[in-house]
Order: sequence, then C-alpha cells, then structure tokens
Amino acid sequence: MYHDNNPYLPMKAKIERIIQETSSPDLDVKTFKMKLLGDESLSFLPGQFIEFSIPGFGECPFGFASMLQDDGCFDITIKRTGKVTNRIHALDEGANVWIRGPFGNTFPLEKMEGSDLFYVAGGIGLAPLRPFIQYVLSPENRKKYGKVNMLLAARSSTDHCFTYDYDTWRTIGDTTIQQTIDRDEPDWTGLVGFPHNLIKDMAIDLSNCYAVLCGPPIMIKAVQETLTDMGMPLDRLYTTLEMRMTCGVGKCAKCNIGHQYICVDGPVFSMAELSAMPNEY
Amino acid sequence: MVDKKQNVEVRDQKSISKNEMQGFLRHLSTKRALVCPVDTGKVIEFREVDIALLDMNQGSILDATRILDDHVSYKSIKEYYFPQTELMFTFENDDIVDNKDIPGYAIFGARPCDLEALRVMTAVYSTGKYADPFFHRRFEANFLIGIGCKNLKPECFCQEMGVDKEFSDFCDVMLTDNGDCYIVEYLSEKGRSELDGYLRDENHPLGFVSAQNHPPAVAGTLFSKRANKIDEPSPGLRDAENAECRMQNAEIRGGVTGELEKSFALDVEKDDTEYFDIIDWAKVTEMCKGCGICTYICPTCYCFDFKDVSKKGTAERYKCWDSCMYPKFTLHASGHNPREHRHERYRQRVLHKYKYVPNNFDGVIACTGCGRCVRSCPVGVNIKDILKQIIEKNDD
Repeated sequence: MYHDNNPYLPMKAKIERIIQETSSPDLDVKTFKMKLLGDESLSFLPGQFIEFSIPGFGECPFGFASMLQDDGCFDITIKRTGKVTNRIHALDEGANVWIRGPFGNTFPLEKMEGSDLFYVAGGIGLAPLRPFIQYVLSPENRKKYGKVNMLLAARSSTDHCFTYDYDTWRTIGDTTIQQTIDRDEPDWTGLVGFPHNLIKDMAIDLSNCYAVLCGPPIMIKAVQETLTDMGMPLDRLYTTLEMRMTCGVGKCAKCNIGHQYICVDGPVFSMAELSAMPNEY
Repeated sequence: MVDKKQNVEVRDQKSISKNEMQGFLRHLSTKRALVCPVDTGKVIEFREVDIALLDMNQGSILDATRILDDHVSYKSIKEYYFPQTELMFTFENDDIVDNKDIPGYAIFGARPCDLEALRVMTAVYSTGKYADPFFHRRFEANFLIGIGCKNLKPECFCQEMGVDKEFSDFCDVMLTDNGDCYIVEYLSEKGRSELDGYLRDENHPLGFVSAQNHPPAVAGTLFSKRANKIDEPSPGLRDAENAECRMQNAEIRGGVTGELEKSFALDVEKDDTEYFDIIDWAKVTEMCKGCGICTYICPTCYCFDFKDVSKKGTAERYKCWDSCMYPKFTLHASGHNPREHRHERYRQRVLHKYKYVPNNFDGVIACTGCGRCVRSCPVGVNIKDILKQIIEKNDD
C-alpha cells in the first residue's frame, strides 16, 4: 500500500460529503465522508486510526468513525481545535486531502463475542466507538453479541454526535440508547448528569458484559471507578486513548505511556492493561 | 532490514601508518563526502571536510581532525543518520514527491559510544512493522569508520553502560591506535570491499603496509565485550582461541578483562509503575531549566516531529529533531498535557532510555555513557547520579 515502503508518505483521498454534527453555536464537530483516490483501498477494523494531512499545515491522527462503506467511503469525525483542524473544517466537499494508515490496534471483537456490550461515550468520544457499534449491529454480526446498551453523554443537547444513527440503531433488537447532558434544558427528555452518576440507576446487567468507554480522560476515570465499584473486573473494561503523536508507526517516541506506544500498542487498552501503566495520560 | 551482522572473518589484520592518514582520507573522499572530527577553535565537531583544502595544508591534517587525540566531539555522528531537519517529501501539483536524494558520507573517527548509539537507533528505527526509510537510506549510503578511545575523559561512563571504550563492531571498519600505526579491522562486507584492495596493495604510492610488514605491537585482533547485543558475537579470531591476545590487549587497555557489566541497567521485568515514583524527581531536577540541550547532543535521542513549510504552490514536509524536555511535546489539542511539569518530562527522558527502550528492544539501553548530557548541562543535572539513586532504591 505504501509507496516504496515509506510509511510517512500519505495517499490522496477525496472528501465526498461533509456532515455538520453539532448544532451548538461554535459548530465545532464535523464528519468527513471520504474515500481513497486511485486503485488503492483501505482495510481496517474498529479502533484503528489514520493520519490526516493538509499540505503546508500539518498532520493529525483521527480514529475511524465508521466501518468501510459499500461505496469505499469511510467517516472521520473532527472537532475544530487547532491549526490543522481549522483548515480541515474550512474544506468543501470534493476537496482532495492526504491520509495514511490504518494504524494502531483494534477493539478485541472476537474476545467480546457472547457477551453484552455497554458503550459509554462523552461528546466526540462516540466517534471511535461508532465503527465498533456498526460492526456489532450489522446483520452478519448481531447474533454473536448479547444485549447492547449505550449511554451517550454530551455537554448540551446540541453537542450530541451521530444523532441521525440512533433511530436506526434502536430498531435493531436488544439495543438501548440513553442520552444525557450536563445540565437540564427545556424540552429535554433524556437523562441529566454525568455518566458515572447515572450508571447505577440504569439497571443494566453487568454480569456478562464488556464496557467500552471513550470521552474526556476525567469521564473515563470516573466511569471506570463506578463500574469497578459495581463489580466489573478491569479486564472487562476497555477504552481508546489519545496522545499527541507524529509518526503513527512507533518511531517518533511521542505517544508513549510507560513503554507502550498509543500508535502501535494502542490506542485500545483494557483497564487491566492501563492499571499496569504509569498514570501519565 | 538493516543487517550489520558481523559475518566477515578477519583473516589478516591491516595496519595504516599514521603518516599516511591524509592519503587514506583522500581515498575515502573519492566516493563520498568526507566527514571528520574537526577542531573549530571552540569544540571538536564532525564536519564535512574539503579534502582539497586539507591537501593544500599538507601535514596539518592531524591538527585539523584531531584523529590522534582522545577528544569527545561536542555532538555525535547522529546528524549524518538523523539530521536535525530533513526533507521527507514535497506536495507538488496535487502529487507527492518522495525525497530520495540522500547523500552518502564517509564518516571517519566515530568513537565506540557513538557507534553503539547508532546500534540503538537502528534497533528503534528498523525494528517492527515499519522502518524509518530516511534513516535506512542514510544507513545504506554512509561508510562508517570507528576509532577506539585510549582514555576515559571526564564524565565518560561508557564502561558502566557496558560499552568497550576501545572497540565497537557496529561500523564498517574499526581502527585501533597502535603506536605509529592504526590496526584496521573490517566489520562489514562494505568495509572489506571498499578498503581491502586499497590496503592490500603493498606498492601503494602512499605506502600503506600490510600487517606482516608492519606488525602491530599486539598481534591478533580485538574483541567486543558488550553483552546482550542484537547481533551475534563476531566470529573468527574474536573468540576464545585468541585468549592470549585478549589478555595482552586487556593489559594494554588497563586490565579490563571479560564482559563489561551494565551497572546502570534497570530491571525490564518490573512494571514501569515501579520506577515511576521511585525517587523524588522534582528534587533531582530542581535546577533543570528545560533547555533540552541534553536531548540535542545525545547520540541516542531519536524523537522527532513533522513540520510543513509552504512555498508557492507546493508544500514540503520535514522530519525534525524534537525533545521530550519541551512542554509542547505532549500537549494535547484539548489543552490537556500529560507531562505538564518539568520533572515529569525529565523522568520520561530517564525512563525512556533505561526502561522503556530496553523493554521494547530486547534489552538495548538507549544510553552509551558518552557523558555529553552531563558535560553540556548548564546547571549540572547529572544523569549518572540520578541513575545511582534509582538503582540504590531499587536494591532496597
């Protein structure tokens, strides 16, 4: 896939469609539906990520926000926070961009077969879980997994991502979705409060369950503590981490936590693995 | 991909008269740009040397390159394998152009600590699913001639790191000072094929002589003492059959015999967390200014960043040295920084070298005891003292 075995050289891709995810005033989250140009195709699994380049501006890592679609497209969901993401948000549909990947490990899809799944996401933290959810809820895989529960948190009602998916997901058997926001709003019918305060009252059977968490580090840590208190073993709790990184292939030595590199040993870790790692993330 | 396995049998030794070094350097410069340690007036530094200029000043080559003196260069040879900034590719007309224009250098006079540092860098950059293509291209293009040290200099601690100050086999050719000549050893096929014909020619106008004509004071060959290498120990004469030579060599070298112990090695079997708070990092780095000089002059520090430069209609992407001593090194886009404090960044530097790299690369420690960080630190932060503290605590 790589030109002359040079993993730093990106490949050209085209943005087919742009979806505005959040409707809060700064409109800071967009999903870019894109595909590789030329004969090359991507093959990836939930949990992996790409490096996304804008020539002259730089390169940033983003997790896949969907499975590979029938038309060869995949989604990348990006929050506008810095120089590169500002530039990406200014792109129009049809623009050419540069990507390289896929990199990193994947969620342990086979290991989780036969179990219930509990996804807890905060804000854009749902993005890297979405290909996993799509995989599990797909007709060919749905029977392999038990009940699917989701607790999707956001600062406000306008900050929830992928809301257009929820109705489809709900129609698939044994799937529940709960949304929560930090503070109550008029006309809000979902839950109010932080995820770790809500889980105990959700009456979810955690006895044969894997929980998959993604969101701000503070949310991940709080939810993990709650689930641990409720008796879930650490090796049944998974998360996907972010660190500042450059190369994506284990060379630049930026994204380590202890001797593990987020780009090659992660980004997916169980809490059991994380507990043996320095608390430096 | 990078194979420096020492499968060359050293059948006979060569020696080069010290009087003929200029001709030797001229020979090296015919194929590649020549890089030598040069006295800049302030420091000894590896620099590209114009052989024609040296020729005009016949006889002063030894002053100019300090070949004979046991000096540590201010910086290592790192930048000839991993330059401070290196063009990787150019975005051009909606296409991308890989930079394959990699110069090859003949690097003369690298010391064992720097050669062993290159071994560390090769492990990091060439192991795993992906290899760093730019390092690899330079590795292939360069020709590397090492030279042993006779004496330890202030702050050198190569011995504690298991590095033999007189010898490393991680080069194409190794020279050992032997009075009025150097003993020459080929340590790669490249070393043999590029020099053998030249050194064999006993009628060479420059007067290179074979070992038979100019026997070294200690016959036989040198040997590598560093344990726990990626490579197998060198075959041929470098084994037990030359025990007598070893003893003689060791005598000349001050009585060091057998394998050197890495007295500064941490226990890779332990969890990283066991070392994380083992000492008071804030206290030992109280004086640290966070200037990052320790990382820049370190021969094994290999962290890098990508930087884009826009030009009219094109953009270039560079691979640039980065430093874990700077706060932006780990700053997240969200504003969160896992290593917000200076002592956390210094801890990363130490544990990365002595714990994380050994964990990931088969025990290879990313420090060869060159002492540059100790010599260069403006406030006297001393990694040796810090390591001693860690090891003492660890033994408790």
